[in-house]
Amino acid sequence: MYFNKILIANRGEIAVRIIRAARELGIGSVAVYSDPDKSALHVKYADESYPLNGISAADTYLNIPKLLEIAKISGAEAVHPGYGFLSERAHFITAVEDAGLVFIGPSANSVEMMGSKTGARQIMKQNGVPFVPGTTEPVEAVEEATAFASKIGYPILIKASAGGGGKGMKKIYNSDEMEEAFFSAKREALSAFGDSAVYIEKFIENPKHIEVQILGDKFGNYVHVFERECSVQRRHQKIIEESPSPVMDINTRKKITETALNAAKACNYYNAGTIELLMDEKKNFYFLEMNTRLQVEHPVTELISGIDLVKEQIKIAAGEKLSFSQKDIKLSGHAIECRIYAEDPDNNFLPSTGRITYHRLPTGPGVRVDEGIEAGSDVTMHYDPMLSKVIVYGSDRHSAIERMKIALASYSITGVQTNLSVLLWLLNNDSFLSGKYSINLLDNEFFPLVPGKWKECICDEIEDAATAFVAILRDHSRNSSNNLRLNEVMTENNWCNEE
Amino acid sequence: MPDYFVDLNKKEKSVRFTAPGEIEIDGRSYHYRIEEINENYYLLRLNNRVYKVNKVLGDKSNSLILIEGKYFETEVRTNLEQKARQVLSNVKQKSHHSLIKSPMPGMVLKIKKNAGDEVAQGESIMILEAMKMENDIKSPFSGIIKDIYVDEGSAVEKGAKLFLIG
Repeated sequence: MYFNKILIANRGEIAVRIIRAARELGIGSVAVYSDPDKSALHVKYADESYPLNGISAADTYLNIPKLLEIAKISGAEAVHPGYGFLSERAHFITAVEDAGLVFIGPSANSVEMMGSKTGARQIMKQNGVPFVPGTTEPVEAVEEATAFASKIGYPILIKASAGGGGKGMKKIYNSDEMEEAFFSAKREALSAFGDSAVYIEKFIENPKHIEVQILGDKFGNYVHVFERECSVQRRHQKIIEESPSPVMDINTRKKITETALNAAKACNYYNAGTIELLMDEKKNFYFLEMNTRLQVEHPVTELISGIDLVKEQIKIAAGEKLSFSQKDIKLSGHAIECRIYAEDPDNNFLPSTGRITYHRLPTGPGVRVDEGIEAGSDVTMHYDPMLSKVIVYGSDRHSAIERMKIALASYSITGVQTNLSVLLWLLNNDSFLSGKYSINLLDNEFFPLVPGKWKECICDEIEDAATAFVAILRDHSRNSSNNLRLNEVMTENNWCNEE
Repeated sequence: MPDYFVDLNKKEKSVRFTAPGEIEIDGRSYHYRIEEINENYYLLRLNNRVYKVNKVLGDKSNSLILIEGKYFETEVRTNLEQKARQVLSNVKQKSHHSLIKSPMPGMVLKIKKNAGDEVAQGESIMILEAMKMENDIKSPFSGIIKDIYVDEGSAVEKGAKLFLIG
């Protein structure tokens, strides 16, 4: 037994994912929840659940004293932070360890070295890892930002030092846009991460986002679990991820995985971590940042390697040695993940809030869903609008894509609008299918067709089905006060497709 | 004479019910059957094909539906409603006032325009914070801002009046 019981300091699909891994290892799970989450899936799914009494993230999932108190009351021996929230806060790790608990993740020291993105760049610089030109220190004043930007040349990115997930990040094409973007980035950084520090980086044209998964134990053993490509992004928020990258060759893979392992060793890293890189069209790569936590997109790596990353995290935290070495890890087939967000694509992707009235997951060979919601769940404005992730495995990329199309088309979810249609548009997009897409795919090809135009390729058949459906329902509600007309047709039970 | 007019993602279709279990859409004829699995999930058969249809949101005349991963914003009008709409749209064109409503609940972070300012379609007019993200609210129409109904720092519900553009 690795631990008797663990506390999961998170919510949504990742809390459910961690509870599942704990259960498989025979470990009890303790969930925590804010007021709006009191009937959320992760609360029901865990063995025990405790209220954090509050609404805002600061009062609840970021509230370290409350979390530690619950750990104590419940008798949990370790804490898994998931991703986001407190997952990359060194002082949280210290607080967990000072309370006599085990943190399921890296040491506070590693997080301090790599978690601050400007600090990570300095370490990379010392270790000869290539990185994108930019400031290695946070930029305090807008004048300083403007001066530096004109030195390295526009376009540039302003990024939150403590951040990730696109929050606190702004792209700027010229000095006129600097002031507004600079302060907006600082505000977003402050409200999302509690730290308004930002830094500046040169913007590379048409790069791919490639990242390498690594695992390290507390005895200095390291492995990589190949790369993921996460170039399909909107506002720097990943939407579709796949492994392996469709353009990766053996030499480049060798180079980037070596770089990743060096980066991990440079900060005495242990547990699961990810080294994010930008790769340009000539396959030059640049260190972007290290994520000292589990990634949202970890399932694609699990499917192509057969390694359960969350279970490995728990074992490593419990002081186990890695049970495999690099030569034991084989890449097989192809995996793709699509993130399902509650949002309205034609309305500037604004989050769609409400109650989930119906939820029916896709099934079938090679289909996995990591879900954070069920029918009856409320999608509120307080937290990230990601509802679930659909992950598919295929023997090759083509079969994985075909599986994903069918899986998404059979996903039923009502009560909120989602990005399902956008994901399907992307899965039929020529650049995506060719594998030669960059992180600008949506900006270059999708957004010019918003609003509305991107939907025009829908075939007549489905349009007629949609038209017939709403007309039949309206006609029925108009002509009768009961379900007679529906019941009439239901008495015949040959619903097969042949006649 | 069609029985109904259906707007499908703003594209108009005409529908006739020609006989029990028979429907004609823009002149194309289908046999149909429908089965309600629950109030949000239906099976619809058109000729030989079965569609799983999700009613995502809405009421009997305006709804958002999901079929095979594709969303459709729909509006159904009877013949009479179609005529009423034509009359109303003539009136509306004369008055030239358009209301911008909040697309979601959130907090007004910044209002970028003052009453009396001119705005172009697609121009950013305010920033609404929700789910920890700053969302740019763009004007769907061009015109002059006649009225602003919210203040910076105030919380708004979905559908709350934000701007009147004339």
